[in-house]
Parts: sequence; structure tokens; C-alpha cells
Amino acid sequence: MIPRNSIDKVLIPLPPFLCLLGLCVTLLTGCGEENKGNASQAATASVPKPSVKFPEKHAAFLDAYCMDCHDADTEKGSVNLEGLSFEIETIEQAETWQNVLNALNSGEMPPEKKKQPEQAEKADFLDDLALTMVNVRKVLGDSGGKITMRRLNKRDYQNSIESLLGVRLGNELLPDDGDSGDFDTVGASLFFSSDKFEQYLKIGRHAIDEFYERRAARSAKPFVYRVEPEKTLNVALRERVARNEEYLKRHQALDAKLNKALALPANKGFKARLKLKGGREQFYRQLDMHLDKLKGAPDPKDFGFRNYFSAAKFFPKAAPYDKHYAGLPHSDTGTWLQLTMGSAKIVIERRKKNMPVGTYTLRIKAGVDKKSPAFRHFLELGYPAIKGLARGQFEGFPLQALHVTGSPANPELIETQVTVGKDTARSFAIRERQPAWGPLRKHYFYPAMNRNGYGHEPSIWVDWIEIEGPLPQGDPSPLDQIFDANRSDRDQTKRARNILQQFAVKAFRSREPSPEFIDSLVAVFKNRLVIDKQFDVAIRKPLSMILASPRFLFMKESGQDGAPRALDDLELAVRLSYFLWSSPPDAQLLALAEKKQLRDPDNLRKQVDRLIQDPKAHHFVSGLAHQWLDMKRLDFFQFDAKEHREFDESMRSAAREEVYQSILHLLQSKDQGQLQHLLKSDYVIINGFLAAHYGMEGVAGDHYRKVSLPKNSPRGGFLGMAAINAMGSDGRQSSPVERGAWVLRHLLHSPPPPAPANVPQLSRLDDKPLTKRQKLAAHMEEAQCSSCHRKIDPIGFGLENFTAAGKWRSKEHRFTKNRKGQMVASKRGVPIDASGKFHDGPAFADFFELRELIATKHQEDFARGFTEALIEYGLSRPFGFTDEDLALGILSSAKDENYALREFIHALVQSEAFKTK
Amino acid sequence: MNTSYTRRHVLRGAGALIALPALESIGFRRFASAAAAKPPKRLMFMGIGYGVTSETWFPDINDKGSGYKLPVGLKPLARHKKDFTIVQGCKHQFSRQAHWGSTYWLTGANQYGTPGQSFSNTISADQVAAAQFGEHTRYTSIQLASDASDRNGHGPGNSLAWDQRGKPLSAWNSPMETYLKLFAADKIPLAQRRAMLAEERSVLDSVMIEAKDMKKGLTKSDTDKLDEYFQSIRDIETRLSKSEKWMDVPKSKAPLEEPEDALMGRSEIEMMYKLMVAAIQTDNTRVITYREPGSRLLRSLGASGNAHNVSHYRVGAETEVSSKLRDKAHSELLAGLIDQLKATKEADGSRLFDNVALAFGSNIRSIHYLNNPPTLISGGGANLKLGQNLVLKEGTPLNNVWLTMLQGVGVNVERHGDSTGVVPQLKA
Repeated sequence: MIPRNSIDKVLIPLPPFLCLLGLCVTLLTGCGEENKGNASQAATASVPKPSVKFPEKHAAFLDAYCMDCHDADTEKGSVNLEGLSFEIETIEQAETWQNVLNALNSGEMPPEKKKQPEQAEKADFLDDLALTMVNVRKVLGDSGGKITMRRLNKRDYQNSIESLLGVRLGNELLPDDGDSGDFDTVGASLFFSSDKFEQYLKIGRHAIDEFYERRAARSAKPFVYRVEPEKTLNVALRERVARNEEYLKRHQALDAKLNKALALPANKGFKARLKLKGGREQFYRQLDMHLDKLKGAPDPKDFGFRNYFSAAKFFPKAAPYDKHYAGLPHSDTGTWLQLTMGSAKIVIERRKKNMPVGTYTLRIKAGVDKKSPAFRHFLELGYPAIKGLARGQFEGFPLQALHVTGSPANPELIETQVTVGKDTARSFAIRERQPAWGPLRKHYFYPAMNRNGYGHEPSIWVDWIEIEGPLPQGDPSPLDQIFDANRSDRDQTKRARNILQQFAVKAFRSREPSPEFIDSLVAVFKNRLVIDKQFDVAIRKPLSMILASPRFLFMKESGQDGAPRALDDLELAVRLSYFLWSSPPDAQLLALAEKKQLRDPDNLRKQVDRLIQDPKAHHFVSGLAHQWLDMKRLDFFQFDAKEHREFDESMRSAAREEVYQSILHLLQSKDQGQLQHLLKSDYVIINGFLAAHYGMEGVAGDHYRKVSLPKNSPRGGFLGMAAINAMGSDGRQSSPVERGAWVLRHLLHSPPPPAPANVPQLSRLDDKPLTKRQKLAAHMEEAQCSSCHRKIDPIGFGLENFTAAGKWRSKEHRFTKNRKGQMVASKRGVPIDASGKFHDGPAFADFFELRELIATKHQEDFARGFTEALIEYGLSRPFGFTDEDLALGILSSAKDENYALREFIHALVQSEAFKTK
Repeated sequence: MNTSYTRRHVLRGAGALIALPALESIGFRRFASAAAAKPPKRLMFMGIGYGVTSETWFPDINDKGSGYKLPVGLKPLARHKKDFTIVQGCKHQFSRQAHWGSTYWLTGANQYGTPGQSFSNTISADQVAAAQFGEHTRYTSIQLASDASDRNGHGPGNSLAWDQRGKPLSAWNSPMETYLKLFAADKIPLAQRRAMLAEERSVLDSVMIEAKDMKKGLTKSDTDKLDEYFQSIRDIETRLSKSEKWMDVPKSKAPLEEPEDALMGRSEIEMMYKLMVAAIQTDNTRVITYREPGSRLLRSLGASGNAHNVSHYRVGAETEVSSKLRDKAHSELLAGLIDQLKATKEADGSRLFDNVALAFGSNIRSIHYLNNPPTLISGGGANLKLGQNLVLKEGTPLNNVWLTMLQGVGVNVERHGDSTGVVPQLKA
């Protein structure tokens, strides 16, 4: 094993060829000699830039199919490929090769009347050229190991404000970082603009204002406020029932008269002449216009309706639903929550002045009808929408999902916490979890009504809901401490100066501001004091200016061009804590830095161990995983509620959290923690919500915990996770292509090139009643498609046992055209064939064999991909060719610990690159 | 400045204050003296991200010239057929990203054009114009966009606009915000606004002190990074100077009602179009771009699918229905915009339409195709030959079209991006 703290001293022999993606990448200068004595620097800036070489064997292809027209003599279309270098070193060369690739991909070349290459031959050529181009872009875009100064990204900023002020700003207030394709820790891609400055100034002020409210709330008297829904919702429900009945009575009377009129011989054929397609409701809506043609028509006003249209409009369709719920047991002490309409949510709210900012405990006493399916045992907590109150609509997404485990006879107490910010709503609501309202009504409520005569079967019963708080705030924030320490100074200007000076040091992560800067802040304060009169108002502007100044927003690390410089202890503390916490260093890190002991390898190791055990490590895991695994795709689609009712917003959050919790578990695990558990494991990290989704019993509550799996479970590891399968779908159907490409990118470290522009889309088989596998077989007919899809599709087919929502299935539906020309799913399913064969690799009979092959044969590939992501995330620059030996070093020391996740982190933190600017 | 001054006085005064290179100053003076008689030229760009339904939006390429048959996707524009031209055969040679319909649409830059970087861009056509027209108006240029969550299909960027360093320019993201910025009256007394302006300046001075201090000991690339901060502050300073100049000019009277709060998709675009007309009609700006919503539009049409799925429409599938619905809506909305431009009268009696040059389209044709992107040109302001199905030589730089438009409205520019010259067939 490599001694832990000495990666920098270990010689990592650089191979003469770095074999990447099966392509040869040669280093321009002799690498071995130069680097042997100097491995420590190799990690930073002195590795020579490699050039990328397109394998020479393909010259024959160019000769055969291109050179007739594009040699130096003919130069057709002024394209001359003669003498084009296979070693691609410049942007110009890259452009020419890119054009060759584009022309072949679009099918434009070779022209139809010319000699055409065999499909297989063309596929191989395209395959290599596309991958070569990916590498060319990487090499030409390589920063050469330079780490560009990083601006606090959205997550960093949010956490930094929280550490300074104790104020947690909502995501909706913060500016997005923009999507450049690089990680959000990469300094070069985090731009700054004038609107950002103005936003920071504004948000900083918002945070300072909220800080003042928090300070005031310290002395607020806590309260308990309870809502008993039987006193409100049940009363309203009974009123609705009475109203419905009275209405129905009038309606029946009107209907009887109308029917009598329609039966008159003079009115024969009246209804038929209206040519209505719909039922009674449609008929009513039309009646007003044609009433004069109906002899003896009753006047709706005699029955208390303005006209027929309004009679139709206000027909109480949900009357049986309300009536059924009004008659349910336990209605004297609590409320059965309705869904879609009626008593669909319980609201608890306070006036703003009675509910100061802070954290509150929210308790719910509730139970479920055990006959209802497990997925209906969850409440959602959120902000109620003002409109659509009876529909259970929320303002924005649910904040939390809560597992209800008791019964109405034996209800259980559910306890959670909510935070109230300066401008957030003081009004909360609970409802049964649900997908979008419209489809739920159409595809579930009415069918249920047709089945049982009333609608959704009852599921959740709520006894009461209460809120208590504000809870004690805990340790005072640094700014609180500064205010407390400067309380007694009578000289307002001096007091302001001290506060601003001390706060600037905190905000600048222990760096001293220039005296001129403080002077200018004091000037702003004095100016404000004249206008605002009060110290506590006037000080806010200069305080928020500190939060918009560059030394807070950017992480400064001094450096020199061309000469790597060791970070000082304080810079190292900052880099480390933003790496593992996305937050500024805490007192312990700063103390070590101050004593200049942080660079000590043992101390550094201890600190990393401490940091990753802290709850703040969740920021690291979520920040890294979201980007490493391309999880933004999880937010791309609203799931089709008809096909996937259970994939609602709460499911989306839970699915995402499962990925994070599974990684966090490895990170914090004392004994195991091997990265390859993410490929396959005999456990899952889930809560009650996900257990319901996966059809597992005996998992109660909302916290994530380790649950053992039975043998032969498809769960355990990324491939069995709902989030991963959902990302490989379009919200309705699974997508073997997306899934296959994801596996190649993130598990096998063999990413296919990005989807090329201008490749002809296949649509020949679109409306044929074929399975996905049969349709996608068309990919193999064209070389432009097969060059990538021969690798992608077989893996995707191996995952076809998972639905778009990540549920296990053994059959799939074929999609065919109906009479209207729409694609609809066939009634009968066909068995899924998940067998396949890796391109140029082993075969597998089903999903389980596929997973086994990936878990056993690709551990190192997986670890390599993770390492590259970790380097990009941690070093704040895209992974480049210059990082090759760093990656090898990390991999080799992680391998010695059987790929324990934290070992990767130790190895990176201990590396010279991490400690160097 | 005396508050009884008329707006034109201010304009003239502003012109005299600006230190421009000699040539441009002469150009400006000529322009300013003509301003009394002739309304100014304006430029509008509307980008839709994912493209159109290829089969039903583009006129047949063999059916060239003015007598061409209008395809279904353009039918709602029939009443304006003489007043727009469809340009076909263009492309941006460096564009490769099949999901980036807006990032390079007005720039044509090479993503990998800067060694050592994985992303770069250059100035967009609208900003080239803004640099010359912007001095005359309250807003140098106006960028509009939609909800940030709906930028799928547009690619990186905050709007269609990129500044001269190739950095993204931000946008106003809702009709309400746009309305308030343009027309909400300043209730704060002038003296107080001056004081606020002075305070804003002192804020900028203060952070500049800090930034300069911080600059010590930075590497070259970090200095460049910090330069973004300096540049941001300078941009705000420029804007403050402009605000000061415009301070005693009351905001224009709104020619329309305040929009409803939560407009989405179709009604949102409709309102934005009205506001665009209002903005140029009142001469708040002469250069305006709009990055239009995708998924939100589909949702508002009751169409199934999100913008990306629909861009991969398949003939006969639901996605094709949605794709055509979207095209129809786009054309109807655009026809409505042209109606408004024609109905709005300028001070000299001409139509606003006669003084505008507008382009509608995207860098993506449809699906993953980047060749022959949808390009619709209209407006009489650039003296272009309208009413035709103009089929150019395949691979003509799209920047040639932008150059033709720019020169047409009087922007002094010889080339734009990789342009190789103007498009003579487009000139009237």
C-alpha cells in the first residue's frame, strides 16, 4: 500500500501512451524523464500538452471515399483533405476534421452517385472520429492545470450567508449560476455581470433585514396553535352535503319537467337536431340558445337557476363523494382528507406579526385506512395556494412528504419542523400526496366514481395539526456576536466602524479589509444615518455592501503565473471547507490554520474525517452527485399521471434524495463505504416513501436508513434506483437510449460523443406496432447511427424491466396508432426481453446478469469516472489531460483501501494539486 | 438640468457630451439633425429555441421568389405575405450543439474558439447595433426572456444578447417586469433620486476600492476573472450616468394597460410583443431582443409534451401535432406583431413597421438539424426585398443575413462574425 500522506512523493510512472477510450493520446515531449524527478509538480502545471491522434489506419477510408474529389488537385467545394494531419493540434485542424465528421453524419458525403463505404466500415470510422473529436476538444480546451479563481456558486453563497448571519435564504431568492456544461465549482465558468452585482446587493440587504428580525425574535414568546379540522372542514362538508341535496332536488324537478316537454309530439326530434356529442351536461349548455324552438319548455328560473347553462355548470358532480365522506366513522373527532375536490387540505396559518422568523415544530396526529394502497399513506406539507383551495393546490412544490402509519382508532403523532423567513408565507397546509390535479381527476377520480359510486376511497384521517415555536435559536451567529460585543459604544460612528471592520474580517474568511474600504463604508453609514436617523437602519446598507464585495464573493488565492505556489494554511482551510461543506471554514479549521498546522498531513486527514461526518457534508454529496450523474435530467419532465400516478413531486424529491443518501452512507460508513456498492449492493438506503414505491414492507417513517434486500432483488445500486431509471425516460416511457448512454457515461467510463447535429432521424417504423427493441433495431441500418448505438442500445435493453418511474415489470406495451392517428399503448403486454451483449464484449441473459457484469468487470472504470468528477469538483477546473497522473495516484491509493469512498477524498486532499495554486 | 427642457433638448445635450471617435460623432450629428424629420431605425430579434416543423414551415425550395405557395406553418401570416421574406440555405458554420437554439444564433461564434476554454462566444448582432444606436435612448438595448426554468432549447446565456467580450447579457423575464421598467412612473422626488444616485455611486466606489486592493497577487487568469467584476461595476456606472442624463425626462406614458401578473406561454408572448412595440414606439430603445418560452408556450396551448420532446416530433405522433400547434401559434403571434407595427404611426406619419427591421427564428431548424435554420425577415426599416422565398446557396453564413440587416438600418459595420459579405438578393 502507498503510505497515506505521501502521494506526492510516490512515483507514478507515466505510460508512454495514455490509452483513453481506445484512442491513442501521445504526449508531445518525452514525458518519463522530465517528470520522474518532479512528480509533485506534474500535478499542477508542468505536464506537456498532449496532442490527439486520429488512428492512421483510417487513411485508407479517406483515400477510398474522399480523395477523388477532395485532393489537392480537384479541391471540390474548396475542400482539400490532402496533407491533413492525423495529429490534431490546432483549432483549425479540429474544424476540418469536424467538417469531415459532419458531412458523413448528415449523409451528405460521399455523394449518392459515388462509391459508398460498407456500413460496418463507415461505423468504425465514425466511431473513432467522433471520439477523437471529443478528445481534441478536451485537449484544446484544457486549462493546463490552472485553477481560475472561483466565485461562490449558489450553494456556497447560501451556506456562507447562513454561517455569517444565521439566515437561510430560500433558493428562489438566489441567482442561478448559468449552465455552461462545466461543474458549478469551476471558476472559469462562473461568470459575473452587472445584474449579478445588483442582485447580490439586494439579496445581501434582504439577509441583513432578516438577521434583524431574527434578533428581535430571540425574545419572542413561543406559542402553540392547533387546528381541529372536524370543527371547520367537517362543518363545511355537512353544509355542502345539505346544499347538494337541495340542489339535486331542484335539478330533478327541472329535469322531470323538461323530459315531459321533450316527450311532446311537437318536440319530436328536437334533441337530435342539436347534434350533440356529449351527454346531459352538453345538452343543458346548448338549451338556452334554442329554447324558443322547444314547446312547453320549463323556465329554469322557476327552479332557482338563472338559466340552463348555469344549471349545468353548477351541477354538483361530487355530491356522492361528499355524502360518502360525511358518513364515515371518526368524523366527530377528525377529518378524512378528500382528494381532487372537497376537503382536500387542512390549512394552519397565523398573522405575520404573530409569527416571527425562526424554526417551528409542526405536529400532526393522523391515521390511515389500512385498506388503502401503501402509496396513499403519505401527507404532503406545503404552502397552500390561494386559488384552488378545494382542489388541494399548493403554491409551488410540496416542502415535505410525511408517512402516516397509525389508524383512526390508534392515530400516531407525526412531528417535523418548518422554517419561517422574512417574506415566506405564515400559512401551511397538508394534503394527501398527489400528482397534477387534472389527470388525477380524469384518470382516477371519475373511474373510481364509476366503480364505487362516489370517488377516491378514503385513505388518510387527520385528528389535528398544530404548530409550536419559535424554537430557541441556538448559538448566536458571528454577526450576532459582533453586535453583542459592540453594544455599549456610545460613539455611533466608532461603533459602526468596529462592527463593519469585524464583520468584513468574518465575511472575507479571516482576511483583513483595506482601511480605505472600511472608511468608505463608514462614509456610507454616516450618509445613511442622516436619512435613516436610527443606527440599526443606517448600518444595514454598508453591511450588505460587504456581502457584495469581491473578497466575499470570490475565493482569492494568491499566485504567480508559471510558478505553482503552495497555498497558505488559511487558503487551504477555505478550499477544504468549500470542497466538503460548500461553506466557509469553522472555528476549528481556522484555529488550525492560524497555528499553521493544517498542512500537516495527519491533521489534514483528521479534519477531512471530521468534515465528512458533519451534516454539512450533505452539501458536498448533493453538489457532486447532481453534476457527476447529470441529475438535472430528473427535473426535465412532468411525469404522465395516467401511467405513473406515483411519480409526483414528492416522489421526485425522494428519488433524488435516495441517490444522495446512498452516497452519504458510503462516505460516513465506518466499516464499508466501498464505491462499488453503488454498482450493486445487498441493501438500499430508503425511507417509508421509497419503500412504498419499491413494494417493500416494514419501513416506517421519513428518515433514510439502511434496509437489507432479499436475494435476487433488482434493487441495490444505481441501476435499481428510481431516480436513475426515471432520468432514462421521457416521463412516460422508458428510453433504452438514454439509459444506455447514461451507463456508458457514468458507470463504464466510456462516454459516447454528444448527440451529433444533422443526423437524419429515423421514422420509418414509427407507427408500426412494434416493441421498442424492434423499432430501435433500425439504428443498426445506418452507420451514422450504429457507430454509437451499437454500444448504447444493448445496455438500455437490459434495463427495460424498469418502467419510466423505476418500478419493476416483466411485460411492456406496444405503442400503436389508434383511429385518430394517436399513438396508444396496446392493452396486452408482451414479455420483456432484456438479454443482450456489450459491443465487443460479453453477453447477458437478463438484467441481473447485466448488473453482475457491470459490478464485477467495471469497478475500475467506475472508480475512474468518479475520480475525474471528484477532481473537477474539488479543484474547480474541468478534468484535463494534465490531471492524468493525479487521477492515477488517487485511484491507486483508493484501490489499496478497496475503493472506500473516503479514501478518494483523502487522496485528493493530500495531493500536491489540492494544496497548490 | 432645467426640468422644463424638452426631451429633444436633452437628447441634443447628451449627444454633445459624449466623446465619440470623430467618424461616429459626425454620423451622430447627421443622425441627430435628421431626427426631427425622420423617425429612427429599430431592430428586433425574436428567438424561439427549438426550431419548427420542417415539413410544414418552410416553403418549397424549388418554389422561389415572390409567387411562392405559403406552407401551412406560415398560413397565419398570409395577410403579410408581401411584407416578409423567408431566407433559406444559411447556417452558422461553427454551430454544433443541437440543443442550443439561441446561444450562437446572433453571434455565429465557435464554442471552442478560445484555446484553453471549453466555452466562448462573441458579440451578438443586436449589440453591434446597440453600440451605435444606444446613446439616443433611455435603454441602450432591451433584452427580454421568459422564466429561467424554461430555457431548454436555447442553450447557455441569459438572453439572445452577448456583449462585446462575449459575455451573456441579462434580460427582463416577465411582462410585468418589462412594463414596470418601461413605464412605472418615478414617484420619488427628483432631489431624492439624485441623492440615491449619489449613494449608488459611492457604493460602487467603495467596492472598487476593495476590488483594486484584492487584485494584488493574482495570477493572469484570476485577474481576468476579477476583471468581470470591474467591468460589471463600470457597466453600472455607465448606466448611472445615463440614468442621470435621463433623470429629469419623465418616463414615457404607457401606450397600454399594465399586464396581468401571471401570464404564461401564448398570452405571455402576446403581451411581450405588445410591450416590444410600446418600447420602440416610445423610443425607450432602438434595439430589442426576445428569447421566447418553449415548454410554457406548449402548455398554454394545451399541447402535450415539453419543448425538447416536441422538437423530436415524429410524423404521425402526438409530438407532431404539438409541433404544428406551436408553429401555428408562433405565426399567429408574429402576424399580430406585424399588425401592430403597421397600425402604429410615427411622428412623421409613417408606420412604425417602415422603420423596423425584424428577424424571427432560431439556430436550430428542427430536431437536431442546424442547417437551414428558420429565418424570417420583416419590416421596412432596412430597405430589404420582402415578400419572397429567398433560397441562397447552401451554407451561406447566417451572419451575412445579419450583416445585411445591420447595414440596412444604418449601422456602420463591415462584417459580423464569420460573415463573408452582405446578401445582395436580400437588398431591395
